Amino acid sequence: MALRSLYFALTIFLSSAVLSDVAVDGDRLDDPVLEARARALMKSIRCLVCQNQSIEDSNAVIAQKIRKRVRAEIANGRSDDQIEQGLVADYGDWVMLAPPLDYRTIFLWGSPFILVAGGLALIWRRRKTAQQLGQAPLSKAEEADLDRLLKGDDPQ
Amino acid sequence: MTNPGQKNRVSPLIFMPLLVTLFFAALFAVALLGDRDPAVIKSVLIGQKAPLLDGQTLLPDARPIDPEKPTLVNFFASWCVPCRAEHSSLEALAKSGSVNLVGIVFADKPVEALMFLEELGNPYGRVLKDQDSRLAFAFGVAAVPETFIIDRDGILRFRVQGPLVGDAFAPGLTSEIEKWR
Repeated sequence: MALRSLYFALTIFLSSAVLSDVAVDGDRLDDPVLEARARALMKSIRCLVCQNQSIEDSNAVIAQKIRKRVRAEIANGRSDDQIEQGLVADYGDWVMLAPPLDYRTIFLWGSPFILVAGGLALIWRRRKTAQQLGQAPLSKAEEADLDRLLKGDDPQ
Repeated sequence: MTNPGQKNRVSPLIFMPLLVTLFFAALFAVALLGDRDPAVIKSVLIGQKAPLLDGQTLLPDARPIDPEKPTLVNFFASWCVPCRAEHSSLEALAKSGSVNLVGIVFADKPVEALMFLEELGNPYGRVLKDQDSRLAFAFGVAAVPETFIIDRDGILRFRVQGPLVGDAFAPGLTSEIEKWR
């Protein structure tokens, strides 16, 4: 039984090497710090063909080309911001996986908070209403109804 | 059974679920019934000055750009199957003489691109190698084939993603070419 688990664990472990990220191209940067920066940046750039993937894990030709570009620009000393801006200038905002944060996207970014705040407000209002209803004393007619119901007589 | 002492308080919030449903129904109707293709990324270059078509040419003989005609830029590659499909449309365009036809190689070895053109025929007045993908990036090309119309003043006017076959070619592209002649 233990041997089966061992084989299982070994299979998973070894296959992880095959499943490892695609951005391990042949032409990695020599400086590990720069390469790490490049990889981090690549994770935030969209593959324009398989649009839900980053260029870091896409096999598409355009992903390879943009990875090459990112590495070249980092090696040339450009900052992450400059590289991003260059890509956005060529392809538009959609090339970055995260939408930009500016006046056009305030509603996009803020809507979760707005909805949560709205939900909390609704809950708070209902609690207040329930409290108010609970605190209001019974009227005479309501008291009489209550007595009759508790005594088991049919009030109607 | 209504209690006489209690006011009938129906909050207007009772309409919230209906309003939210109607809002999303309208949103989905507009998105689904329109003919917008969500995979197509809008070109940020349309209406802007097109990138300069400089760089190394693939073939030594390159026809000069006729400034009296609009320019059609077509990105292609030897490994690109739809590029083969649209080749006859490009030949028709070359024959008509209505545009300057410029081909740009995308993500391909120059020798492969040469063999591709030798096999199918070369419709282009000039072919650029673009080995560092500089022009592909400048035009915002994500895949091949992609075709751009540049008017006589050098402004990028139209883009077709995908092969120039069927409706995409005629009247899709041809009517646009007429606009910018």
